[in-house]
Amino acid sequence: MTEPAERIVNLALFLAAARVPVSAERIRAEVPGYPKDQDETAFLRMFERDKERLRAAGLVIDSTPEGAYRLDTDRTFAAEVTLSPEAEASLRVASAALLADPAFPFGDDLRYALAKITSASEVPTAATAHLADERPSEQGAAVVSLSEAISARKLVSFDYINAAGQRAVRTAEPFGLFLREGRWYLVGRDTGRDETRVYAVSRMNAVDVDLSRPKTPDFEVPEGFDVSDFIGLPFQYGSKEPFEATLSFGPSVAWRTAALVGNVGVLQREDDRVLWRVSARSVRRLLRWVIANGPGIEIVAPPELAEELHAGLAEVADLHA
Amino acid sequence: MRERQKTSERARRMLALVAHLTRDRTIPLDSLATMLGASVAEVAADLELLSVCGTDPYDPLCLVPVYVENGAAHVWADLPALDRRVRLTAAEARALAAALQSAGYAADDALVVRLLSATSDVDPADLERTVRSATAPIAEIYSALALAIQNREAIRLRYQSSGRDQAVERVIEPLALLNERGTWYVEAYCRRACALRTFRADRIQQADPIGETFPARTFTPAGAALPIDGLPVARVRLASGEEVPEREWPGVRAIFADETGTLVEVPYAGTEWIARQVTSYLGRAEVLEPPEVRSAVAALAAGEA
Repeated sequence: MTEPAERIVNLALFLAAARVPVSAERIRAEVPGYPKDQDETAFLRMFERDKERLRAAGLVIDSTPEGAYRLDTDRTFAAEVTLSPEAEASLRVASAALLADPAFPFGDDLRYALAKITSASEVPTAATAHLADERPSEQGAAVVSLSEAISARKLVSFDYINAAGQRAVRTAEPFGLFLREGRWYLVGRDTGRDETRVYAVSRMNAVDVDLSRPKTPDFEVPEGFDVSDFIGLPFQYGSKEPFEATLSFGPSVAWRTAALVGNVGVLQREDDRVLWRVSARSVRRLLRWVIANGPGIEIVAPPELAEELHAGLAEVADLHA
Repeated sequence: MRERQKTSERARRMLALVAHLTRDRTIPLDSLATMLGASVAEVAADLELLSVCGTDPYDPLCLVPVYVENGAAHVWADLPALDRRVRLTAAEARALAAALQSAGYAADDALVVRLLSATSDVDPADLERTVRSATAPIAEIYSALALAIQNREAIRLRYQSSGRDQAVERVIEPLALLNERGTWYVEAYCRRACALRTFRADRIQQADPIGETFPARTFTPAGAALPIDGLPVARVRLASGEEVPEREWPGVRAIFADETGTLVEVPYAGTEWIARQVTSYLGRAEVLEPPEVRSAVAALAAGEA
């Protein structure tokens, strides 16, 4: 009796060794594990499932107009890639941490990706990750479903509790996901409101994706969509009118600019400082950000913002005198 | 249905194992098990089953040439087929890109581009447009730290602590990398402080190995990026309407609240950090004690103004 996994591996080896496309009938006759007394329909169902399993492992199986099958070796096999010791160590350490973190949603696939590009190692890795601090397992599981919905372009629905504590069932066309400061967020078009919204995954419950017809997309992603356009800094959220500010990073902090601002705003080097034009919605949070990330960050414009900062600092000094 | 899923998982695992079975190799089962997230017994069973898989005519020379002995897989000949690495699926490429992104590699980083183009059909820039981790671009620092941890090499850092306007040099023995809410920290023995310290990776300006390995030490790493046990505590009054910043101030605890505000206790590792945090409230937070933190806030506010 051949085990099912043995049959599937034998099929992979058979297709990889075949020099010409082979018919399903020949596969049935020559690959161990396909029952000889099985009717045609049952065999074809089993064979289809086996091909899907091989595709899920990365093998690309084509069929000819005559109904024969072959392994597309160009698209199945990877080019040789040699990683530097630094790159390999980075991958191993980051992966070791992420694989043990329930908030990282792509663990299984990451494990197989690493198995394909690195060698089995006996070097222990010391790393941990806590990507999310609120319901990490639930966030990780929800992101798995949401990312499947994004890939297949399928609608998602979920119970959602907004920041005001109101609960409602939402349906959305999911476009992208981002992780920021311990929380996963979904960006998608709310079909009820007909507008693009950002949802905190930690506020979702009962995420439901209808994958019964995965090859039939429910929607198109807007052209030019980029999830990073939705990743802001704390002072950029809220319902107030946006305003523009210019900040300067002095020499002592200029080297950290990329880490501090991410992809937000426009940077411009000027002598030994870096100017940053950025839009904001909350004056209080912007001023808080300037102080918390200093020293070396100054407000260049608008002048009334700089005045408000100085007035606030004078208040702090008075309060602590 | 569950049986079918188990079959799919096992077949995927066996196919992943095949790629590692190169002639004359001996591979410890536990390293294969760790790699695949399976038990040693599962991997041993998979290898036994692989040893009866093969190609026509299924004689010993056409079977997968592996046997298991003394806790290791031994490969005694070339594979009959499938003797090259298989490309990544789209889902595997996405997972790899997400892991690299979390380690501070941008989608256009040479490593990401080279790796994904050699192993998949996926464009990393496309992936980054749909799944994104807001991580500081620290790839160079991260890789230096990861290699140093692996090789137990001491590193010379230029590190700018929170609230300081200059980076300071120190030599560390890096022990572990820790990710807390998307930010990486390195836990290390600091030779300057002669104690364990945690350094935030995006505050490291430079990290260079000094060509010296370090011995195993007897202390136990905390294993947490922001350990709060044993830290001094400041008492801070937050004005009415200010939320207790539980995420920004790790370990903060509200102890009293009335219409004028909330009294909280805040563990702090450095006076500069707590002073800067309180100052950033611009008068809506006041340190009640200890006096040295109160003075630090006053000095900071006067200096910044």
